[in-house]
Amino acid sequence: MDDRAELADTVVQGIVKARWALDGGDTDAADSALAGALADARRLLTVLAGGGDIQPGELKRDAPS
Amino acid sequence: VIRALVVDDVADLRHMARLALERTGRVEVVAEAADGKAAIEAAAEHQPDLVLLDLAMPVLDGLAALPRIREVAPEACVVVVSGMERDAVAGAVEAGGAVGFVSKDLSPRRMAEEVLALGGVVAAVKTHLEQDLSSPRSARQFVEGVLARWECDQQVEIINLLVSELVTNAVVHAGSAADVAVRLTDSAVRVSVADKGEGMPTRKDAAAGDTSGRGVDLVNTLASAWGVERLPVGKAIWFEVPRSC
Repeated sequence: MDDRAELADTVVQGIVKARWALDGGDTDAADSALAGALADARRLLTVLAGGGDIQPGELKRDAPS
Repeated sequence: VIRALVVDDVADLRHMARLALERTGRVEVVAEAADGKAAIEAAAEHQPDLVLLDLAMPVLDGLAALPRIREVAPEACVVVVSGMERDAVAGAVEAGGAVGFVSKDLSPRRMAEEVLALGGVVAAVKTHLEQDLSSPRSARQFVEGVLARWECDQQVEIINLLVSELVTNAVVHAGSAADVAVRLTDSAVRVSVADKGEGMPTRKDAAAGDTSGRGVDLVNTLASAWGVERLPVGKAIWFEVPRSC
């Protein structure tokens, strides 16, 4: 598994953790897992966008999210 | 009323940002845009006071749109609101003329509050803490989070120590909840802690073995300036530490 796939897997695991916590009624744990997953997703985004120091034009999407 | 333009390619997020901003009672959202090109056109047409600008968007991204928004609406304060890591875009955000960066990780309410603080619409970011022994810790977490997001946290250890002392005084000695506010002045980070206690702070000569009584002394020693303001009910003690941002 390369670094990017591993990071993507971490994001998925974090969201799963949040969903399971929500299912169990533990909103604090869900919130915490979601915050962690968001931080991991941001890190992945930076890696996929080519690392640090992103320049104008490099964040143009092909379609709206 | 501050007139705002909300720019984001996700319609639901634009809607939630609009609601959060308008709930502050300080903002009217006069236009929305779903990409950078539409944002430039909307900024030129509506001349907003404040622009919330997403970065990753179709047609033209936020970083490319930013300097052109500043050209067509030079009076507008542009605050970048993005899911990107701050460090990865900080150079371009600053070079483009934005007044600040707010992470999308925040709750809509907190996001709106920080956008308004960065845009100079409100003077400070505030939190209310109950009369509880966990409040000093909550105060530290609050201040730490705000300063980190503002990239102004080089003095955070001193600020945390002082805010912790003042909130402890409010909770333990004044027997009150506490309102903590953080703002930036031209030269300092200014933190105030308000409580409903009637007593005014005094400096004490704490003995070596005393476990309390040093709060005001610490503020006096470590802050570059401090003072007390009487409120209709209670008081607010404020202190400043030179800003690093």
